[in-house]
Amino acid sequence: MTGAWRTVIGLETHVQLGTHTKLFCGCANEFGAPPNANTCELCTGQPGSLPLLNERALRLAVRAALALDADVAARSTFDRKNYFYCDLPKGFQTTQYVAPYASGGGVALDDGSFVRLTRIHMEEDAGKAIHDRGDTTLVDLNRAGVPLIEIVTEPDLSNAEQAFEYLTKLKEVLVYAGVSDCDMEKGSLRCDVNVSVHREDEPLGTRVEIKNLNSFRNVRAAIEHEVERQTRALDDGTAIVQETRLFDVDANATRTMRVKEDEDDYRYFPEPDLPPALVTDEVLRVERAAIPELPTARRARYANELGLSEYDAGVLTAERATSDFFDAALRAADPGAAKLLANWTTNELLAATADPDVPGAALDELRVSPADLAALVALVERGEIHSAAARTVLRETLRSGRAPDDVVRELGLAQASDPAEIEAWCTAAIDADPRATEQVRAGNGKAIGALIGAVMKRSQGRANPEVVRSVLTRMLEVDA
Amino acid sequence: MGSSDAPSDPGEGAAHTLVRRTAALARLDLDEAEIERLAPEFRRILDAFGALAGVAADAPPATDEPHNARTRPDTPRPSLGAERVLRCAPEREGAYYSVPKTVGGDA
Repeated sequence: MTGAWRTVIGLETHVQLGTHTKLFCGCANEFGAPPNANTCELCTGQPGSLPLLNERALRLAVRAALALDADVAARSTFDRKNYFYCDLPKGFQTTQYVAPYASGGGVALDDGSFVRLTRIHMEEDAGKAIHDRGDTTLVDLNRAGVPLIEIVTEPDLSNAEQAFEYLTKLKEVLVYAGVSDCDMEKGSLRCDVNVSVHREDEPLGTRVEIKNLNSFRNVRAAIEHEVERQTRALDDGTAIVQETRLFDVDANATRTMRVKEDEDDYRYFPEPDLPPALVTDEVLRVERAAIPELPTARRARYANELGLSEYDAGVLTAERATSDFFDAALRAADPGAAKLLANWTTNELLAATADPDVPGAALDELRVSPADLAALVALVERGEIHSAAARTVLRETLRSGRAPDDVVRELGLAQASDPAEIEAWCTAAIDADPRATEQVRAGNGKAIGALIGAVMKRSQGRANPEVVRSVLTRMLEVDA
Repeated sequence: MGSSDAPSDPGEGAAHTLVRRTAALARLDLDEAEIERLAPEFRRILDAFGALAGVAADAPPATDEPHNARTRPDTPRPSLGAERVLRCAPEREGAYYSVPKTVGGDA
């Protein structure tokens, strides 16, 4: 028993599909509705009600599988997973146990490793149970029946950072593909973790499942804690018990959950009320076509084809809306303007979405179109406006929606490069600041910055700074 | 008490074990007299399914598989709403169902 400890991690991720309705009934799939408002005979388990599969849920599930390079089965079936709990009044969850709709595929990590997917299956979500009410539990069944896919990995992960990266990339793919908003605060994405440790020269250790992980940060913290707990126990000669544990965020620790059913206890059997789910070649074609270029590919394109930094590529692809906006602006711009466009997108436009004084809280809601941004950057590139003036133009376009060219004309912001006009501003600046003027004449090259700044202010940002510098050095008879 | 304790062809003792396990999963608090009464019934049910399994082994494959399984459009339909569904609830608190707390208990 001399080998180092090795950690083996597998993840099961539940993702709510972005449908309008539940998986098997027409109740709204809507977060935040009043308790039990979105319920009917079917999702409250009334006798005689019959399920019917939501076509869009099937389509989005297929799209998710294709985006993750999984194989989609032409025919998959549903099963009943029997358990008695207040969050699912039917007494069973309709899921896919024997024949899931997708298998294989995976997610590539930056360290070159590949996290393989075992399977992806469709199932219905359970309701929400609120336990902090003394001896009673309150139940809201709005979530009961909301469509989910469960994405199960092989035990290919070996540390908390890999788990964090896997989840981050998984979420990116699903959000980009329009499958789900993956908003963990709303419970649209939830994750269970299986962790075991063993000596590298010994068989796999006993697996512990951790539930109640509602943020990627908690996933990372729970794994780190659990690995430490297990290795400490094994070092002390204590056996690991196969169990399900909850992560307690406040205590930053895991603790034993209620004893859970064994797999056999679920008494899975084929769902008699649902026919198989069939996926045709046409559905595959349509859903494959609906998948946009995914973020990993976009980052590679930005770095390799446009020469953007890894950081810029990361900021641009963090949200699909940002990347889509940038790509649309790029199509309307000179190819050489990519870096400038990226700067304006990540600095000015993303800041504008957070500005309460600017109409629109997302890039696609702003009054600046991608073509407007391309036009603005072209004005800067051609030297027609200075970057300070460009910010003024952008602010005005954000406010009014008027085209940048029009704003430049109306506000008289075209860059002034006429030496005669600039000379007048320079004379005024020299007269107003004899101290800086003396310093420049005495050979303090840095002092000229104060005079250039004064000219820029007098010209309201219109003066071409290079021409200003040239005029000032000539007037003060110093070297440029 | 795991399901591995319950063999697929239980004798009377195993039938008692199965009744206890099933009751625990369903959060039913059965007394010994009820277990005594239910065990033979469980035994008869399992025997009946055992007989069915023997028949099913020779059964021809299903031929009524649909070629175009029906799905429904993702269009919302009116729900019953909280007031109507909660009429069936033995207890409620506001717009919630109120049930005995089960979290933390052994299944």
